[in-house]
Amino acid sequence: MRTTPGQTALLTTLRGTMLSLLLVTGVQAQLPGGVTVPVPGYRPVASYEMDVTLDRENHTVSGTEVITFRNTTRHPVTELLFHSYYNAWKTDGSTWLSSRGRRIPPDTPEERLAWLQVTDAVIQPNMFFSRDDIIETFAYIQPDDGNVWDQTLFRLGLPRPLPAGGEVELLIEFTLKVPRTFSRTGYIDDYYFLAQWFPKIGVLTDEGWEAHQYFPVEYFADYGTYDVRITVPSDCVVGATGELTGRPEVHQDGTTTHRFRQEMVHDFAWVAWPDYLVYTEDYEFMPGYETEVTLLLTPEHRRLRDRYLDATKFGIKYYSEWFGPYPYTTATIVDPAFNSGAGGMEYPTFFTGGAPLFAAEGVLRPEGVTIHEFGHQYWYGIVGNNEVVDAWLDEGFNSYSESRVQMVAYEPNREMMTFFNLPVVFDEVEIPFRWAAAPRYRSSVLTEPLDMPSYQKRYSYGANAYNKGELMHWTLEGFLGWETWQEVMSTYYERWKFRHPTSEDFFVIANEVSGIDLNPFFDTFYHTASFMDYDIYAVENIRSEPPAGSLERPDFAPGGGPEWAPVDPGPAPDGWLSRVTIRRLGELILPVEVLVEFGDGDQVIERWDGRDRSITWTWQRPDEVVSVVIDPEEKLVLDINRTNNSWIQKADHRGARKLVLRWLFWVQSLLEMLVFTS
Amino acid sequence: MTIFDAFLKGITLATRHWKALLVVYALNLLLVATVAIPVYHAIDNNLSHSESAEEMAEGFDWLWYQEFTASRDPDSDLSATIAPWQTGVAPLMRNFEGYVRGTLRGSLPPGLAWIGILYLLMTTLLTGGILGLFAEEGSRFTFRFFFDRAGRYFLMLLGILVISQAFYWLLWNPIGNAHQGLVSSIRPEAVTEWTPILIDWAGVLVLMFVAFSIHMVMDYARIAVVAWDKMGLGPSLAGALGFCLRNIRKTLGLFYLTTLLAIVIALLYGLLVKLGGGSTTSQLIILFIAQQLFIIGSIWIRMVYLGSQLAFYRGAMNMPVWVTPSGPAPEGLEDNVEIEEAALA
Repeated sequence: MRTTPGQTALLTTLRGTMLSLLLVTGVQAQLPGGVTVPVPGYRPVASYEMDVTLDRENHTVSGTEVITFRNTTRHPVTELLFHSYYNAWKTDGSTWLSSRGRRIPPDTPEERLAWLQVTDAVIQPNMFFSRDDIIETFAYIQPDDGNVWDQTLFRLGLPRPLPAGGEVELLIEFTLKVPRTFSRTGYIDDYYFLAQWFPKIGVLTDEGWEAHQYFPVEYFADYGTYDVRITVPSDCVVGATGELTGRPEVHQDGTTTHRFRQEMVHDFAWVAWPDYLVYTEDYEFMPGYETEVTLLLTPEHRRLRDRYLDATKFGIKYYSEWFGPYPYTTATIVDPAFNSGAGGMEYPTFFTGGAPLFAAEGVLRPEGVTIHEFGHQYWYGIVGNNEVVDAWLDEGFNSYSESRVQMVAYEPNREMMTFFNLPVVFDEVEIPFRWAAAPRYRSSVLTEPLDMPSYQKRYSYGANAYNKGELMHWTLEGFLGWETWQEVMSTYYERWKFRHPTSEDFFVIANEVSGIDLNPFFDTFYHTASFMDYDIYAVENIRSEPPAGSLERPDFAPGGGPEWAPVDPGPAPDGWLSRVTIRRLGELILPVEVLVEFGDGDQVIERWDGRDRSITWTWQRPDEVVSVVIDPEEKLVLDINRTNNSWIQKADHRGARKLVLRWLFWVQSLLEMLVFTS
Repeated sequence: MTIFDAFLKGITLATRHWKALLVVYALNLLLVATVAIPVYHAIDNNLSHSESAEEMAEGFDWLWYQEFTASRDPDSDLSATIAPWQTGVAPLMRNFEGYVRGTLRGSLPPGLAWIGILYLLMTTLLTGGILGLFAEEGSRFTFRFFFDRAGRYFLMLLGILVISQAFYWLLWNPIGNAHQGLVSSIRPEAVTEWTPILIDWAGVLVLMFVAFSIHMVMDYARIAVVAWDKMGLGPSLAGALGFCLRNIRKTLGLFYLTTLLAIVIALLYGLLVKLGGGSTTSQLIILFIAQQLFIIGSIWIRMVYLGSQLAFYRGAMNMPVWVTPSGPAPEGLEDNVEIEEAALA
């Protein structure tokens, strides 16, 4: 049935009003599939029903997706924008490849490359639209850099505007060519890891579409329900986002269809490989909360089974205790096949670990990467910030959370080296969890500010996204105390779960929960590339002695001029006059404590707000200052130089002697080895 | 002479001439100490008055290490080359891997290259003295005798050193690079990590065998130079190669028997430093003694290689006990030409 434009406008207004009313009154929370924690008011925005088939011979996946998209903005929308990430590896003219200066060698076989082709797009009839084929409106767009070689974003025009609150259902037919691994997706031999693989709708905001071309950064999408049927050769073990629903359907042509379904997620990835070992455990991580943990393990990592499972369980346990109960019914860890290039990546309820063949005890790999990727279920998965713009909100938050779990659950990480491919662990060298991110952050501390959109950062993406963010958390935890900081984090989680927060949203919560105006700190931290560095500028100890010379005062004799009489200044001060001057070298400021110790063992803690460029304290005491330590509890982990934070009067040469003896031996033995080359 | 007899003879010679050993050791220690002193001062100035000093003394302050090395220029400041792995047997393993893979020289910090070259030249000189001592039955170490022999054979041994570099270049460049290239080309498409690792290990075994063999042949060439008193460079090398090939089982057996002894010494050292530790003055002295004993042990092993191979060579060649370099040629060998012919036989 066709309507006139006037009727359409009226209908649209009525439907919009009805939907708005529904939204205002709220929808009674029900426990959706694949989720154990109810979220009142949650409604999906972008849901997908997919039916796809893997063709292992041609390395293709083809099928259909039905996207149900809801306009959550206040404005009608006339076009839909979609990501076609796989086209980033179609030509080296793409923004993803060319921005890294990467070229596809001329003799590269076609089968190593990727592409995504949309073959049809049909609007499904619903209360807003009638059935309509809109493939003719298909066009690649390049809003970020105008690079016409880039086909990672496309638009589809709607036959009429989708009103605020309205929904559109769109059937898309597509085929994709799976590459020999780019950016953690692809195949090697008969191993297939599919990520960022389907035509994926962008995020519509009141300011318009938040959808960028594919830069070498991460992703941003809306929440919805994914119901995906995957048909693969029957010998494949399949793992994916969500719950395996029903029994796999075995077909006579040697293929099997697996159906996975998950609500309240914003992405879907899957893996298929005949060789996987599968281990499944039910894990009750809090009273009344249980999830099914599944490990897909490569046979050569069989002995790492418990390390993977334990790390995942530690992650679930501590993230749940600290931030909020893990809401999904499944958590699937994938130990990626060697050279699959799929390791260390997060997808909703599904994530990849990674470990070398000879994973040494005492070195937290695969533990670190497993906890980290699990942790992204919270920071990225559930709290869905825009990774393309503000990557630190997930990577930095998660690096901190991950390190904290490791700190609580494990012995300190150790330094290691490999000799002839075999690991040697240096038990003596503990890598402190709180400081582990410091060297990398410091190496590019002065380059780009954190507020520069992540996809525009050229030199400091990793240092800013991962390290600076992590160090901020450790610093503020130290400054405010764990209880307060945990409350900040859990409030942020609770308030923004299944939504899209910005950095500002987090700052507001940090101020509110801590009761302290942290904005001066956040302003410098977020909007500049300045740093924090306090140092001891000077320590002076001056022995008090009676002053030389004499004091005189005028004494007026009656009727006469002044006569000068000696003054008795009293006993000379005994002991030492000590001065300590502390400087602030950077512009990033937090109050700091300074521990001063005197020769008699007395200790004084001085506090400085750090606002001035320097501060000097003076003491008159029986004993001189023998040591000064800035930030003695090491709260300010953002401080870029800890060596200049302390001064001990009595030199301790033991460390230097030990190091130089070791160095001496290394060079001596190196020279002897050199004789063997003659 | 059996290889065991030769091996025991080598041990006897190396032990008896401990004074020569001390000369080599002193050279090693003095050379390294000259550069270690500024390294010590650089570390001490940065560390000793900070809170990290105690932590570093009692363990390893990882953050201080990161800050210290980040603040130094590794191209001009040797103190930037301190590292957490310079403990226990790890430096030995790193050096050995560098030797086998041909990266040993590259691992020398830029400021140490001259020391490496100087040490090679000096040990070449001193090897002449050592072999001169070993070759003359009943000889006793005197500086005069030692350096007389050292000077006498230096140019010949230097020639062997230069030629050996060509062989090692061939090993580490065309062959080593081919091995590395093979591993690198297989690795990206391997579906199991075992594949590149096993191929690497196989290649490493081949490289190690060839490197050892080159060194062994060069040792026999050095021995020929001394045993036949200044035999020419070509004949000594060709003779050494021919000798090794003719007696391949025994020469390799002797070489690897001595290598086994080197491994035992390295293991003993590893055990010793594992039991030790700490950073009190007495503990550091014990560490220093253990380290120096290992270095002395390494030099001793090098002398055992030379002594045992010399003994085996002379036994196999039916050489008289000794030809005094300045004296008449052995009976039946009228001049050097005949000596060379004998060596080539």
